[in-house]
Amino acid sequence: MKQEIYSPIPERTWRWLGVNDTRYSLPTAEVGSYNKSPLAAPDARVRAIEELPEKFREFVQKAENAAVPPAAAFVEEKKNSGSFIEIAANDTVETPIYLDYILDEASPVLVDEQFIYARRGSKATVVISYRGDGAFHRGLTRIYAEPEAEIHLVKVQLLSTQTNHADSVGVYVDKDACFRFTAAEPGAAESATTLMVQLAGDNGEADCESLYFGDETRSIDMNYILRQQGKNTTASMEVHGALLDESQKIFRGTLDFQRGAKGSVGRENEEVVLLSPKVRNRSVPLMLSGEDDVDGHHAVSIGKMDENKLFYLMSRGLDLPEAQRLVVEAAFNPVLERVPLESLRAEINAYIQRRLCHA
Amino acid sequence: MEKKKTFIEDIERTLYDIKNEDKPIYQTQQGLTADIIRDISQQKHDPAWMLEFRLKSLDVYHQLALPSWGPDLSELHMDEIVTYVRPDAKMTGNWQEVPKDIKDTFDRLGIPEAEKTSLAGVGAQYDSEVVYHSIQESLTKQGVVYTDMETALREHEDIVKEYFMKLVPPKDHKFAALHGAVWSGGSFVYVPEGVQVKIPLQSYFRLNAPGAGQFEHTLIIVEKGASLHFIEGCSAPKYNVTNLHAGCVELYVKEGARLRYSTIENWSRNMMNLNTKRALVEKDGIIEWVSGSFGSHISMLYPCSILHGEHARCDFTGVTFASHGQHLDTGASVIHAAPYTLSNISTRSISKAGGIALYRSAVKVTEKAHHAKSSVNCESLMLDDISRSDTLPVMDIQGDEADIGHEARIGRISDEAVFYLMSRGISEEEARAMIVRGFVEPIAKALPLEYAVEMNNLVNLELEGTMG
Repeated sequence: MKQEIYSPIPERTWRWLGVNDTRYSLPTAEVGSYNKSPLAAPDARVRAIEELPEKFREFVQKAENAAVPPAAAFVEEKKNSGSFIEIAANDTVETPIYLDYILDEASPVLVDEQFIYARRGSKATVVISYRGDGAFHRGLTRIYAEPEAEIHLVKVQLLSTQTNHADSVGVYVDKDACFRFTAAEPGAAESATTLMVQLAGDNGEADCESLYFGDETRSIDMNYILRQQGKNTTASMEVHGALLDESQKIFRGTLDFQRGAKGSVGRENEEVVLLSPKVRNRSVPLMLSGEDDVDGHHAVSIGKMDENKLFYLMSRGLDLPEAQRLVVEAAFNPVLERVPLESLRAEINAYIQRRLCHA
Repeated sequence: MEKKKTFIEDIERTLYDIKNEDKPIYQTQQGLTADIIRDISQQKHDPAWMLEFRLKSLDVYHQLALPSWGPDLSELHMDEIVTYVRPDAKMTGNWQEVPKDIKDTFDRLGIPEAEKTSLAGVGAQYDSEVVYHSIQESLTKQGVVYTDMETALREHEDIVKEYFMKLVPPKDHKFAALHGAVWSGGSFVYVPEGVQVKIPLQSYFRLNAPGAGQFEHTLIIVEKGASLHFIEGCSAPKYNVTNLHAGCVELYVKEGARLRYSTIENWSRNMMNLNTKRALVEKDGIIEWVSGSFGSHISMLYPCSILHGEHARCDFTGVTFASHGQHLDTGASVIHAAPYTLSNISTRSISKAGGIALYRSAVKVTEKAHHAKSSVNCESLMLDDISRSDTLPVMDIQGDEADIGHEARIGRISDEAVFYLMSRGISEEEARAMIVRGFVEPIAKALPLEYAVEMNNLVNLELEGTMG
């Protein structure tokens, strides 16, 4: 199958490691229509992406960072769904805005483009889920957070193991604004995701937590870049994963302190549990700095499940698979707890447990 | 309140920058052609197979592209590099026979003095040829061979033929191919089974000719249960034209053997240092790398350890200091290719005055390497906001029986630490100097004493105000 570059690593390295570009297979199916509304009930804040006023284009442009061609071009050209979500200034949205996309026989292909515009001082959580059994999904979400806005994006992907998934998120964070990102994407046969956050203003914050789960022959490819430009910004990246069967995964996490980001702090941590002898895990924690007055730290831990933990659980009467499931669940819990919808949280958990049972 | 910057002196270079008149007895044309390769081969009285090897390497060189990653190498014009410069000196084992200007150069660098006090053998290369080699008689009696590569090719041709560029084949990358085509000089060490070489051997490489390349080949074989500490030093005076260093080091550490390979690289700031080093470590063998990168304009240096036998082990300790006009892309790679192998990588880097220090590494655990363990720790200290410090580690792990940990930090000198030391009666300047010395201390500890002193000179800081 023909491949194309999806998004490159910020600093290239040895080619034999195969980590320089996120690549994904080009979809072979035709992009038909997706006629269902992802919203359970109408919400005045959510309009079709086609209704995006021209005057907001400049903000879309600023959030363009993740839109690395040709992924952005493909989504913009072929999109069959998408929303423009505007959160009014100082508006606190208590109930999460939930977009639920379900692929099925009637709508096997989804290409969605989202733009979230969080006005000054607003607070909101937007949950976007991709579920069901289809051919492929390509997505592009851009966010512009004005000063003092707080926006939490939750991405959940529970597609079947027949589905091909590639999703890209680009975020511009102005001064004193906060972006939270939670991703639970254990589904799909092939998954390629990109997150790029630009902490452009002073005191901006990015707080990202993700989980991934690989089994059978699945391949997972993630490229997260947190770029710190403003003074006193804070960036945090916490990623938990488990791999079993013959699954493969690449996670690239970049903390990029740009010159002028004085007083900024960046943290990155990835913990991977390896559960089968045929898995392949590649971890690439980059830290780039053009500024001395920063505090950056990254850590990666890759290994088998802690035998002491397993032994303890088994001494309490659990068999080995049960004990393993419990340990994986415990590792994923901090991420799952950030998913605000109880039913969705339960579904993610059940999805992972079901697949762990196959192991 | 405006924060003041610490001012840290560049490494004292005067000693290294004294240049001799460039008066080679012979040198090739600039550039790289099959005729030039034949010319080098004829000058060196190569056996036929070596000429063939060189010409094949040249073909590979032309087929390969420059790396698509790393520092910009556009300043390197191979058409302008002289690949072979024979100094006006013959290889000798008697220091008094070395021509005076060359002897004075190595005297200034302290090589003969070190030989007297702390080394069991010394090799000195000037431009493309080794001019002096010696080894303690007691080692010779035990069967230890320490000689220049040309002599080794004559006197131990079978061994050289078996090992030469087998670990770093010319097709590995463009500069390995270049090395295969134009290599000259370097050291050959053979330590027989069970022999412990307790005092280090040292080879020193000096490139005096402007616009020239140095392509020395170091081949070390430490047989079963033997041990060796080998030290490599390199320097050159500064010229306004680009010089190139594309050496190659191949280390074979056999079962239960131990090799420590220490390098202090202090090339001048017009040098492109594109060096390749690799070790193959068999069962229960240990390779220890101690690597200091202080000089050169551009460096691409990542010693690689292939842990080929069960319980083989690699310890890598490195320090990189990048200042104005320097882009030092350094690091290490380890291939865990056997069960129960172990690797520890520990690096420190300092960047200042617009220098770029990039740490690059790869830890690969193959399917066969169950119960492999690896621990990587790298720390970077930036002394101003016009410099860069980047880390780019990759871990590629196959299988589930591996235990891999990686940690990296980047930052500046902590105000709290300075404050604490000052509260104990230490002046601010001394407090900061102590912290920087402490930062590189794990590396200094791993160096032989005389190099630890050189390192201390490196961090002999002139401090002013606060670090900010």
